[in-house]
Amino acid sequence: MREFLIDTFSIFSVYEGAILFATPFLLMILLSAYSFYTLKSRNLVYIFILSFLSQLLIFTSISYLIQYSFGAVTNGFIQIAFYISVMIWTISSSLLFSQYKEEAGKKRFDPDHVTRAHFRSILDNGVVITLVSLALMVFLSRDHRIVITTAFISSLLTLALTHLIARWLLKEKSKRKNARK
Amino acid sequence: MKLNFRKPKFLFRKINVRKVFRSILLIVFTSYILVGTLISLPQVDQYLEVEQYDLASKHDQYWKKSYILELKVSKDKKDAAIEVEKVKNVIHKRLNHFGVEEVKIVESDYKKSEAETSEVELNHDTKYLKVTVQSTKAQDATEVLISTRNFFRFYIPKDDVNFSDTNNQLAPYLVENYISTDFTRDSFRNILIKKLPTDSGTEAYFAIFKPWPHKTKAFNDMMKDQAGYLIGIKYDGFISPYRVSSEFFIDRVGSSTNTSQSSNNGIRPEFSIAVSGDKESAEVFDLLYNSGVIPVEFQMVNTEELETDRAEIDYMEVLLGVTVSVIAIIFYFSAKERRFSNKNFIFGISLLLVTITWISILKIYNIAIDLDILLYQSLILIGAGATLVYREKEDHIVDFIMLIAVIIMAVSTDGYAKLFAIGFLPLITALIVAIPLTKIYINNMNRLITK
Repeated sequence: MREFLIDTFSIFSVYEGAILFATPFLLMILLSAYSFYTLKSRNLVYIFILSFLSQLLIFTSISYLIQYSFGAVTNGFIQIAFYISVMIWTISSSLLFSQYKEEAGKKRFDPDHVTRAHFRSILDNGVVITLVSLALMVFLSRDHRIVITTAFISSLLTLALTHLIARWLLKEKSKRKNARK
Repeated sequence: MKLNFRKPKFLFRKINVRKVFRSILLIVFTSYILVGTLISLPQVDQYLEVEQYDLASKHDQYWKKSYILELKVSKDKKDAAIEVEKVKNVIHKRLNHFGVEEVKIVESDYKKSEAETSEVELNHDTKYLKVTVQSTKAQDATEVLISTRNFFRFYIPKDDVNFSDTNNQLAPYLVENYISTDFTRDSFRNILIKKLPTDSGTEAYFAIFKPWPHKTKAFNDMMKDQAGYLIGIKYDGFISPYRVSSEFFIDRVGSSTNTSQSSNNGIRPEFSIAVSGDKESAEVFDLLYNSGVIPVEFQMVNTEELETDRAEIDYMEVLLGVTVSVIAIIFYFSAKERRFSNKNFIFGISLLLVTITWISILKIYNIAIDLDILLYQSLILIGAGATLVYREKEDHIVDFIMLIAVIIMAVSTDGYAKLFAIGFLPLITALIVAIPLTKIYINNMNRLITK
């Protein structure tokens, strides 16, 4: 486990591991609490928690796989990749929150509107991340390329998975509502 | 002859002051963009043949060294593992708070030479830790933070010892002249480092010992008993004498006469010792006192200078990469919307505005930065900019959440990630401000050109 954490995240002590994971965890808690407080939506909270956990899982696997294939990044830069991926998750989640809030303000709440708007925005995000990563990667050394590739692939997968989770949970909600009617 | 004098019409009447003011602002804004671009372009100093003001890189300031620490740990394997982990955590915490960029602490299979291993230890095992550091911070201070345990215990003098005896001036420095007490670092919730006036009228940094509430009475009683006399504090095996302030004595008299406002206008005296005259050393003392207690004795047995492994990044190439990606993004959104909308201008100009402001500040004030971290910041800045400009509906909650996320990262991360987040905070704030400003600029520019 120790070797795995060192290889994947460059974590060398419990203290370092705690501060690395505490930051995104705190962000997730704040975002979930705020959305529950303002929109009273449990579904949105579940979406944030599930997508956050999936993000951790995706980043760990991608970082491990890439470093296993192309060699370890020995400096602490892989942690920056982790925070870039967390930042992109935060942007995607805040967009979902904003779209949900807008739809919740309407007379008839249609989850399809939320998921479609979210899909459009994450598609744009995905293209932007791809373009920037590819343009910058050309000029960089091996370590930086690995860091950007890890951030880029894990962010794309997280965006996609967040969307799928949102679609699944919001559609479930609308199905339950329709069944009740 | 009668002169036909006509009252001249003032030109002012025909001038639209608002329009003039708007035009002046547009000119100032455009000039700012042009001048800023010129300043922030790489190697401008060479073309203009002026004094060097190219972007300063931290690359050459980095040094790298590894240290081997020998730890005296318990015989029990489980206890030993816990002790090793505690040592790693405390050293990591110290270096993190000091701002050291890269720290690696791993267990080492270091072997001592035969001459060194002659000492036979029966009560403990030996473990080795290898601490590798790559940083731009002061090397001496970093080494102090790695090599010092800073474990202390309070000692009170034996009754029959006379420290004022001029024939035995070493008496206050001999541990056999003291009796050990239970007061160690664990007895104090905090050791506050504060700048205070000294008796000679100058100022120095003092360590003020703040005991836990359940230990306060016992500690203050000990101090009252020793008021005006020397006591000893043993740091890592060496005892240093300190005189307890006579204010504790006044406090003792006050409490015995049952007056609540006993001394110092009711402020209870606190035990403090002078630690340093300069701020840098005081910061190191603060970290040594307040980053946790290292549970075992240790010593540094080896150091090794290493080659730094920071890959140098070409500023010109990074700028080219960023420009290409911004143009590609504008093409993508134009193709998606099937027209070249104002949003493309807003996206391009707001990013340009933030970048030139940031780089101009760095260049003018000669602030050295890590170019690779600037690269990662530009990556996420472009992503955030595209999200904020091309979103379907403006909602400031997205800006707010982004800002909060970066603040949390800046506060709670360490190493390169902290540098990344701290540098990114002004950039994202500037971007959030720059987008509406650019909208106003483009709207006014449109109006001026089309009319």
